[in-house]
Amino acid sequence: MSSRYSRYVVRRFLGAIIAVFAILTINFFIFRILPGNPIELLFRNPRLTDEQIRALEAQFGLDKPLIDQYFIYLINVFQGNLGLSFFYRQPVTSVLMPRMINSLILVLPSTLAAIALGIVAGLISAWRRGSKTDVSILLIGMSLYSLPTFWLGGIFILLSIYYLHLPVSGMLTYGAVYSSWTDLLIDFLRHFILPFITLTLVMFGEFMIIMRNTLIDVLTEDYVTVAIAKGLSQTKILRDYALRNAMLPTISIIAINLGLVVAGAVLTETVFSWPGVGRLIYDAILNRDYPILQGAFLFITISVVIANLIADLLYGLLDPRVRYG
Amino acid sequence: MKKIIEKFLITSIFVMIIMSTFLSMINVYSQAENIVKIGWGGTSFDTFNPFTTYAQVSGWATSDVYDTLVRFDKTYTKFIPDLAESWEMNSTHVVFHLVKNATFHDGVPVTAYDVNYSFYLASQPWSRLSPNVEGVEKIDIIDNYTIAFKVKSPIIFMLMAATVVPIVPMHIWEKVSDPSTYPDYPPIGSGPFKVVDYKEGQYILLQKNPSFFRRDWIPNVDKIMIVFYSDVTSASNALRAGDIDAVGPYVPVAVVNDLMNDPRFAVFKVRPVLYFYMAFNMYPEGKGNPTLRDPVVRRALAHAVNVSYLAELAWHGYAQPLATVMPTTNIFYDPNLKPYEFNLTLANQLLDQAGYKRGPDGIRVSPNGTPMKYTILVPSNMPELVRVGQQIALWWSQIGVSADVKAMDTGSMASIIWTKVDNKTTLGHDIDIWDWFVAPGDPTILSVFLSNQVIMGTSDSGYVNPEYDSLYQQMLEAKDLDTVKEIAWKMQEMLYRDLPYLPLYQVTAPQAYNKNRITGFDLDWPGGPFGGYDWTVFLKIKIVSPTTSAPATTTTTTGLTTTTSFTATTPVSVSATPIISTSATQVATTTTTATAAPPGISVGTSLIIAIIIIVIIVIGLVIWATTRRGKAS
Repeated sequence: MSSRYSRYVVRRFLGAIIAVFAILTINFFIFRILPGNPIELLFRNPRLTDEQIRALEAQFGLDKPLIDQYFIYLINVFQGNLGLSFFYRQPVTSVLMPRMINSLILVLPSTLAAIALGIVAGLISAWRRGSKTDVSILLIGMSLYSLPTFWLGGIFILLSIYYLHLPVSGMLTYGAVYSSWTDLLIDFLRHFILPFITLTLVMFGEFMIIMRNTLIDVLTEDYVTVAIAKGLSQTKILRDYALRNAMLPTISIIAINLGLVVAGAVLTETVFSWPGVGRLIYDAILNRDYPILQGAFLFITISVVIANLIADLLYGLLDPRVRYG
Repeated sequence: MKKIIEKFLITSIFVMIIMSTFLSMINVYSQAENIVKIGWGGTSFDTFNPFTTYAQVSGWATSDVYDTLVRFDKTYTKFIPDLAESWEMNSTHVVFHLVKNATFHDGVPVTAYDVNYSFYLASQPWSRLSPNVEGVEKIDIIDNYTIAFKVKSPIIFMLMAATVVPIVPMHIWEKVSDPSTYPDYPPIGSGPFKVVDYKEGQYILLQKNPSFFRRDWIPNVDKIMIVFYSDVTSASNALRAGDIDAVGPYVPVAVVNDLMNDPRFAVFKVRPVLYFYMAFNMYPEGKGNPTLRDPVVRRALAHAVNVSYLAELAWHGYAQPLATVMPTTNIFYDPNLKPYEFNLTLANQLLDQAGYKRGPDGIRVSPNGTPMKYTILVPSNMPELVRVGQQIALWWSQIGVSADVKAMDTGSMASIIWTKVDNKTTLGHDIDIWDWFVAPGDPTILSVFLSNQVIMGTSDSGYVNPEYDSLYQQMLEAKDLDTVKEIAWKMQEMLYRDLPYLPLYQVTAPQAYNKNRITGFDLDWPGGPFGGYDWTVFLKIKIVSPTTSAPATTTTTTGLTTTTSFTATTPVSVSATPIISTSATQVATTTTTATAAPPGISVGTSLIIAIIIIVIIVIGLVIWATTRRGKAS
């Protein structure tokens, strides 16, 4: 058994490495396929001389043939050098890292809250299938899932402007000097609460629906019927029979979402002007800042691959069938 | 078990509600109230390096960090002494006498050597300022505080270089190994403000420099912060929520009503620096429809466009029709030009006389058989331009011209306009609608129409005219302002006649600030106080009273609302159809539903309540219906 598991682990690892290579390649070429010369677009300026354009192109390595650019890119990536941002004229990593931390601060708590709420609500829904509770939870979950994020965020902003008087932009009151840690915490929470609620509500539906549907499948299995017939307690049936089996698909959804945490939340961050990766990506698209986009996508895809790898390994432990598959 | 779970769910929802109400009641009183905060929506700050920055907000935010030799006043016709306390000009030389007590923020005195080194950096090929200092032939340091420039044209040098080139400390920059990638943070200048904090993509914090050499320029406030937003809508929301005190470069038309109804805010129109135009591809080697190279065709098309109506359609009272390639605030604007008369009969006549006969499908065909079918490219980030394009297509359909409007992102648009054929750049489109921001102080915008500008990727019309090129060269070498103006007018008249561009309208976009918080600045700078051109706003701004957590209901008088502040005579409405002067009939059928309204949230309280009520009713109905069915079975 253990040798089987280790072979499974090796296979998964190899798969992940191949995936990362494929990502690197696609990541490079996808931005070159986009129409438009970034230099000309970024610096659309009647004063630019031909000489200046050439100098800018040389500065960013755009004067070399595509295939050379590709190998230079690969070598640089392995040396941890993601290049120079077209727009900020700074190394991509130094722009990206602080943003990633800001994103984690917002997105990780929201994702965890959405997962917790989603799983609990899904459980109730499945257990009381067909009841008023089930229908209302399902309806709320579905509507939140289909609501556009910017609309929900916009409603919260309006509520804040007219009633709540909470700040609607940034992480902290810029330029504030705090007398104590509690002041800092309160100021942070005042900025945090609206994007947090928005993001949690938007993600909640997905987890809830997955949990409910898999649980319903499991609850109609024969072994659950037998368990009920045996007169086992509700708690025991739910915990030992239903939840375990329903956990598998939920784990893969959770893994993908936790992997995406570093991506920030493009819409929520833009609506609430949260200085995270999501807003960075949004601005980078507008500015055609390829190196930033490449760097951000690289981090996102690699973290999704890693999260998936962990999910796969967990799967192997939780469900022996996977190892032999 | 399920009881526990239900309790958890209900508790967590309650916790969220209680937390947000709790947080909304308490407010941390911190020193942030002494800081004036100005929000900027759109392209964010790029770099402090004044020779490589291209973002408007970067130059503006550091305009009082670095000094220049001289400054413009708000009419852009007078020079104000800055680092140079006086200067003399003859037909070939400009000599500056520098102030003697100026120091950089690190205490080192500013001398002629720093000026010389700054102009040297500006002239490097990687520098964005190198075209500005092209006319400089020789720089002589006469003594520590006197410097002489030998130039082709003293007036052009004053307009394009002396007012623009920032003076940086030589003792720092000469040690930089590669100034073209130097981030220059924290920047050391000699101006009335220092940069004390900068968070990329978030804000820049300026602090007053109390030892600045011009005592009357010492800022009124200690700290000014410029906060960056992805777009003007988020910035406007932040203004309404009290996060910031003012918004630039403009507030979206969609939220203007909400801002005007709130007693906290002053809303006003700015003097225009932005205009929109339609470019015809008339490049002789271009790949577009060849009929556009015929001047009669362009004239006929121009007569079939009602620019006054388009200005109203796109900006609802915040734009005026324009006849030349620069907005009225530019000192070289030619006031003699008037927009082409909107006259479909005349347009039809012109085409008939030139031999463009209507084909069986009603579309005219040129004498050598090319149908007059065009594609109009418009940038998709400005949805109102799609409407403008469709309106133009509708007018043209009445003179037998077919036009197809295509919206796309600016990157794709640029790649269609400047296509490469055999490694040579040529123009691949028919017609495009786009915009230019034009600085009020210099005539550089006229260089867009030089013959060599297609290859450079700036000319989208392909205007080729050697006479025009030589006039431009003459202008750069003209000895006095009147000659420059005379030549600039002549060039604008040529462009008006030859129609590479059909100028559409200039934008007097609204700006807003919290009048309970700040006061003291001019509203009539070109582009407005927060538009990225006014360098005096940071010096003049004053705080009225500290912000409180609840919006104040009383209005303090500021005395500012006199000159250019917004007057309610032009009603602003997002959904209302603009008033039409001519051709009311065809207009009714135009604006299709294909275009979205310009972005912006302008929902009132009543709408929120209505939405909540509808949601509750729908949920209630669904629950009722499903549980009834459940009982029946």
